[in-house]
Amino acid sequence: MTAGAEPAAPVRRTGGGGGIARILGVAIFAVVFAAFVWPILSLMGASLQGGESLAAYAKLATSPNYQHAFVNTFVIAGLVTGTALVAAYPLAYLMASVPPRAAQILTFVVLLPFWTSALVRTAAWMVLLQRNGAVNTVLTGTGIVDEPVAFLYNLPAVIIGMVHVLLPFMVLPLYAAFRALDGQLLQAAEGLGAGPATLVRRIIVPLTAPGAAAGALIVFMSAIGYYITPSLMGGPRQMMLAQMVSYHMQKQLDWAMASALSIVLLGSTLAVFFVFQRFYGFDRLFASETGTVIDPRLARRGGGAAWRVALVLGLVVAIFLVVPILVVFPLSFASSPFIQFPPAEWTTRWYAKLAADPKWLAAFVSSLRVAVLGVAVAVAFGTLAAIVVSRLRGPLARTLEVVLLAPLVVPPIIVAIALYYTHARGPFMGSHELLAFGHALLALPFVYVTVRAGLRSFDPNLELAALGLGASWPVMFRRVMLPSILPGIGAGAVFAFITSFDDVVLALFLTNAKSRTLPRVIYEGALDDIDPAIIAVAVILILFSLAALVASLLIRKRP
Amino acid sequence: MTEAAAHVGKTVELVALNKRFGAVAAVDGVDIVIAAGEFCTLLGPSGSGKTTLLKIIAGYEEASSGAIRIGGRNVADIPVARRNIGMVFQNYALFPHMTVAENVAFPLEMRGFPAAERARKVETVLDLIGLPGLGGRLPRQLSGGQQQRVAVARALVFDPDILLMDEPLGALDKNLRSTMQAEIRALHRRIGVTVVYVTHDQEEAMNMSDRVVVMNHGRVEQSGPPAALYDRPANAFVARFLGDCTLLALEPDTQAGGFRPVLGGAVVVPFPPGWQPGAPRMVAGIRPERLRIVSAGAGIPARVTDVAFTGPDYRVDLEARGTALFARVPNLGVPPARVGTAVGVDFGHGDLFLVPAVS
Repeated sequence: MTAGAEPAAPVRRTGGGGGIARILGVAIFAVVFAAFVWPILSLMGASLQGGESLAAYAKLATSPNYQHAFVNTFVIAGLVTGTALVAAYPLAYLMASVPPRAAQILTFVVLLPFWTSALVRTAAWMVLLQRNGAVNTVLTGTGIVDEPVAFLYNLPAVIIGMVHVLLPFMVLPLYAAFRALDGQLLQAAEGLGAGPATLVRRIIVPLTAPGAAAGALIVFMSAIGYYITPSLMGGPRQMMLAQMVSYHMQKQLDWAMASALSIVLLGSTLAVFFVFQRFYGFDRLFASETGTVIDPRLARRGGGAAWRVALVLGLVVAIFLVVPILVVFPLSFASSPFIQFPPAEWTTRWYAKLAADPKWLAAFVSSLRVAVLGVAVAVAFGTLAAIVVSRLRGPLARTLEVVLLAPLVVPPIIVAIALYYTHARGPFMGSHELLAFGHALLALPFVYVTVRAGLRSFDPNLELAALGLGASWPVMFRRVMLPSILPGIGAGAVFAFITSFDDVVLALFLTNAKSRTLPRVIYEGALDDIDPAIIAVAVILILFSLAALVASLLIRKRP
Repeated sequence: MTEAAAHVGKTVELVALNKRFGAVAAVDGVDIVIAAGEFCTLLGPSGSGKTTLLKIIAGYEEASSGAIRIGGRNVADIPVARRNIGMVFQNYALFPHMTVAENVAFPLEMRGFPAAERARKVETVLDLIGLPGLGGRLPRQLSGGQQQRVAVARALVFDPDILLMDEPLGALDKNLRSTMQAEIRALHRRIGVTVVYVTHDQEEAMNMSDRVVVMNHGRVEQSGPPAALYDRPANAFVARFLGDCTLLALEPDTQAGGFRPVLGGAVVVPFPPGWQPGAPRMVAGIRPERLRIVSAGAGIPARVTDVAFTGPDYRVDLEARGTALFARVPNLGVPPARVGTAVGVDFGHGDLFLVPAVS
C-alpha cells in the first residue's frame, strides 16, 4: 500500500475501494493461494495417485482401525469440549464478578497457560502423572493408595492434558460474554422476582451462550486435529486421526493413505466450522468485549448460593490451570534422576547439563532464527493484507477474509504434511526458511485479526484530515495510521512469535537432525523417558512465555 | 495566520455537479456559486447530499460529472493535499497521539515550514482561538469545546483559501454550541476566509451564514440569505425545514387579482408574476409568529384548542373552520388565551408566502 500510492492518487475510501487496493487484494489472494491453498490441494490429489486411485478410500471404509481412529477422534474431542465447557463456566463467571484486582489475578491465571507452550504443559503433566511422578509419590507416600496409579497413556490422561491445553480458549470468550452481560439485566430479573437458579437458567446461560458456542467451536476444532498431547499422553487405544496421518506419512511412507486420512480430518474440521458459521457466524469469535462488569455485590447478592458454588469450582479450575506450570519450577531443581515430589535435595545440575550439551543451545538458536524470520514475514504480510482488506468491499474483501483466516481452521498437522509433501524433494527441505514460512502461515491470521481490529478502531477521518492538511499517503501512513495500529501489530507479532516458538508439529516434518528446533528436541526427549533436563528447559520456556505475556499486557495497557 | 482580514478567501463554483453511488444520485445537478469570503451553509436533512458535496469540494470524493472551480481554477485534477483547503471534521479528527501543538503544526510541517516559523504560527493561532498555553496537551486531555477550537486552529493555521466545516458543533451541548457559533462567526469576520459549513440544524444555519443552501435528495431546493429563505421559501420543503408554519388552502379570485384563503377573511394575496389560471395549485404558508390572535368577533372566528408555555413565548393551537392553526405569542406575563375560548385570528397578505401545493 505504501509503495505505489503517490500523493497524486490518494487511495479513496469510498466507492468500493481504489484501484490500487483492488490490485493489491488480488495479489494477496494469489500469494496466499500459492503458499497455503495449493500445497493442501496437491496433498489432497495424492490420495488418488496412480492406478490404485480409490484403494486408499476403500481401505479407509473397510478397515476397523481407521473407523476406530475416526470414532476416537470425535469421542475425545467431544469429551474434551464438554469438560472444558463445564470447567470454564464457573471460572469465567468468577472472573467477571470479583473485584477488579482479583479479576486481574484470575485473568493472569488463565492467560499464563494460554501463553505457555502446549508442549511444555504436556511435558509438565507427564512429569506429574508418571508412575514415579509427583502425584503418585504423594498418593503412595500418604498411604491413600498402595501401588502407583497408572495415570498416563490412557483416556483420562489424554483428556486431562488436552483440557488443560485448550481450556483458556473456552474461558476467554465466555469471560467476554459475561463481561458484555448488562448488570442491569440481572438487577431487573432479580427485581421481577427471579431466584438464583432462575437467574442462571433464564438470564445468564442464554446470554452467554454465544460466547460458550464460540469457545466450544475453537476447542472442538482444535481437538479434532490435535497431535502432540494424545501422542505423548495417550496409549495405542487413544490413536486419533492426526496421529494416523503422521504414522502413514513418516512410518509407512504411504502418501495415498496419509492424504486420504487428511481429507477425512480436514473435511470433519470444516464441517464443524460451517455448522458453527451457519448458527453463529465467524465474526463473533472476534467480537470485542463491550458492556460493563457485573457489579460484584450484585452478583453475590443476586445469586448468593450460586456464587459460592462458582467461587469454589472456579478456584479449583484456576488451580488446575496453574499448578502444572508452577510445579515444574521446584522440580527443575530436584536432585533425583527419578522425579520426586517434594524433592529430597536441591541442585542446579540439570541447568548445568543443559549448558553442557550443545544440542540444546543449537536447538534454541534454531528456534529463535525461525521465529524471527516467521514473525517478520507474518507481520509484514498480515499488516499489508489487513490494510488492503479494510479498504475493499464486496466479494473480493470477503474472499480475502476467508483465505487469510483459513490457517486458523486447518489443523496444523495438515499444513505440516502439505508443506512436507510439496517440498519433500525440493531444495528447501529441512531449512529454517521453509519452517519459518510454515510458521508465518500459521501466524498470519493472528496478525491479520489484530491489525484489522486496530484499523476498525482507527478513525477514517484521521486519514482524510492528514491528507487534507497536505500529507501524502506514505507520510500519512507513517505519521498517523501506523502509530494508531502499532499496538495491534505488536500484539500480532507477539502471537506470531509464540506460534512459531511453540510449534512442534511443523518442525517434526520440516526439520532434520541438524536444523531441529527446541520444541522438537523436547518432544523427542519426552517420547521416551522424561529427561530431567527437559524440565529445566520447560522452566526456561515458561519464563519466556511469562515475558511475552507481560509484554502483551503492557502493549494493551498503552493508550 | 496573518493579520485580521488580510487573507481573502477564494470563490467556489460548482457547475452541474453530479455524484452517483451505483444507482443512487447523492448529488444531483448542483449549481452553486460561493463568493470570496462568504459564509455559506449547506443545510439539509441527513442523506441530502450535503456532506458528499463538501467532500467533493475538499477532494475526498470525485464528482461523477460536472466541474468545481476554486478561485476560477478547475480543481478536478488537484489532489486533496494541494487544494489548500482547511477542513474541520464532525468528530474533529485530531491525531490522538500528537499534542495540540503537533496537531496544529502538522499542515505547516507538510508544507515545509522551518521549525521556528511553525512554532510562531502555532502560538499565534492558539492565541487567536483562545487556547494559549495548551499546546503541550494531548487531545483527550481537552474538553469537547477545546478540541473543537484546536480542530479549527489546525484547519486555519496554513492560511487556506477555503474553510470547510462538517457539522463541527454537532457533538457539543446546546449552550456551548451557541457560544461556539458566535466565536466561529467572529473568527470568520476577522480573517475573511471563504467558509462552507454543513449542518442539519436550521437555527445554526440561519444565525451563522451569509447564505444558506437548502438541500434535499441531492438537489438544491433553494439558496439565498437566511431571511429571504425564511420569509419567502420557494417550496413547502424549505418552508417546513427552516421553521414552523401552517399551510392554508387558497382559491383564485381573478377579479381581485389574487388568491383568497379558503378559511375566509379579507386578505388577497396577489398572483405571482406570470401566474395563469390552470397553473399548478398554490397554497399560502404562515409562520406562527405572524398569526395574530384578536378578540372574538374580529378577524376569522377560531377556538383555542391548546396553550403551551415554552419560556420566551406561548404556543397557542387553534381551530378555525375545521383548519388547525398555531400561533406563537411572546410571553408578556399573562397567558394570551384560555383553552376552549372563542377568539379571532388575523393576518395581512404580507404575513403569507406562496408555495406550490404538494399533492
